[in-house]
Amino acid sequence: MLEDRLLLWKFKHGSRDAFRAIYEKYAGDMLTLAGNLLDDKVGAEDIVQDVFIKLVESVGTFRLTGSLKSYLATCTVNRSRDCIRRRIRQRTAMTKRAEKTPAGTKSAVHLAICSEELKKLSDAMTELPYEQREAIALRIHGNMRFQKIAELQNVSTKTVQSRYRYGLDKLRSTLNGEVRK
Amino acid sequence: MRPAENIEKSIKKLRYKTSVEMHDRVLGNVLQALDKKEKQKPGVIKPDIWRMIMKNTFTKIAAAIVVIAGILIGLHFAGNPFVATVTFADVIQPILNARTASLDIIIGSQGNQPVIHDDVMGSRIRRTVSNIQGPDIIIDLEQQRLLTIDHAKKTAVYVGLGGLPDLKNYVEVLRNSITRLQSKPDFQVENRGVEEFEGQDYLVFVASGENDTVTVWADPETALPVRIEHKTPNMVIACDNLQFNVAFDESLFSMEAPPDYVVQDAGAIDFSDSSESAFIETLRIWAEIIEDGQFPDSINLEDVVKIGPKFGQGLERAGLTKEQQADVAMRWGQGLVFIRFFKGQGQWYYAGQGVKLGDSATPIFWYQPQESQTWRVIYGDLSVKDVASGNLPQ
Repeated sequence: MLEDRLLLWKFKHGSRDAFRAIYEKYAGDMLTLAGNLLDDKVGAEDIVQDVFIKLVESVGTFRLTGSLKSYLATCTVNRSRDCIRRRIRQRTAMTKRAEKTPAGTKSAVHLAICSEELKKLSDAMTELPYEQREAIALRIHGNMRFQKIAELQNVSTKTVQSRYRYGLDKLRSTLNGEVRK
Repeated sequence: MRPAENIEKSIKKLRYKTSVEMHDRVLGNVLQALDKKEKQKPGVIKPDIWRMIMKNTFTKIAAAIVVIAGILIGLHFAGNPFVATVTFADVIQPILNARTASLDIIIGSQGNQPVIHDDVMGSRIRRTVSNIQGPDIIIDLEQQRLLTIDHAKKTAVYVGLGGLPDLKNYVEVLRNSITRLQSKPDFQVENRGVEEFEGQDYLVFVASGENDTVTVWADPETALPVRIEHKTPNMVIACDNLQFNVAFDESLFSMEAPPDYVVQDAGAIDFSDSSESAFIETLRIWAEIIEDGQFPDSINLEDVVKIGPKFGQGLERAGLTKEQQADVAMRWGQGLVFIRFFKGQGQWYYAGQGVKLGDSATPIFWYQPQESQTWRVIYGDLSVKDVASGNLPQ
């Protein structure tokens, strides 16, 4: 929205307050998005931090073509993908890194509303194939249109819609299975 | 099995948060990176745009025209009858009762337009424009004066706004327009219910008639309008982040220059001549000076706001003295009032794209004056003829 363009413009002209306002406005959404994308939640805040540092570093050349919210969501997704790839490649190193994380920070990211049902749903999300999880997270938490997600995933809109629908079906059946147990 | 929407609602609740300490740490790290970046910046010489404006007569006027254009936009918008059609009491009431207002105005829909931010208190507006860096701008509509304050340079510059129509109170104009037009029955209003826009839910009303569409987004809980978008064939204007009855500090709207500041008087912009002849002069300047012999593709307000550099190049190309440049810029700005405060019947039409100045066969602009049965048609050679409705350009 216009407020974002104004904030960004002020930030580009050196306003720390404007940057802080951008951070306060979107950091929570980005954390939720990263939290839903990552298998485990450790690192979600690192992703948020990395995205904002990148924004700071590129502010001189940065040019917003769409909405700031969408831009930050896209950056969060890209960073989350990098993080997951890195973890797969260097699982040992990542484990060591996690061990080095100061006590308390490992569990710093947690569900805002903590109910048994939501914990099950969160676990079920992590069981989804990544592409489905990403489609669901971007649609629901990033408020992105399917077409935009398709561009991001480099597939057709129909494929994204299928991933979304299959993902929801899987979640539904997983949760129903939990209920039956 | 749960319906899909229930699953979606549950997923929506899967929001993550972090501890306050972690939040502060991350923000601290990012701000540290910002500090580091600032320190690494080479000695960038930021152009002192306002000093440049004051040194260069043309840019001074161009900047003022942008500011004026914004005033005209606000009033054009406020005076639009279709705003009044959205007479859903809950949504309109805050406008009717507003003592102060805060809003962002953006012209056009290409995404790279300057953002005009207005804080309004009675007849005074405190304005910032995103492509004019630096000074605070305070406009006093009642006194028809504009004050710019550059705190860095400790300068205060007054610009007169001569000849503007009687604009005693910005908010009152808005209120009167709505009240007067509320009774008009010939509107179509669609209540689209709750719709999502940029991730948030809003009540949406769409009022339309003839060629105009006004869309109002309102907060579903408070019924306060937060965004109004007005589309006409000639332009798109959005008023965003609307807030009413904001508790402003009155000193923000003071027209007094701060003590110890160097005060300058930059003269007055005279907008009293809003006649057809003044507009024709604007068209001539536009084609001859700005577009090098051809009429522009469009004469929308969004083009006016962005035209500064191109105008400057045209003036240089024309080899005019600084005094002549100022005179040309002034006359160009004056004629714009004709279309911004259009007083004819219905709307005006422009078809000058690709037409060369001097083309006597091609109509470029036509409109119907008040109480006239015929239309005034301006041709590429800037001649004007009275034409019956049946003979208008298609």
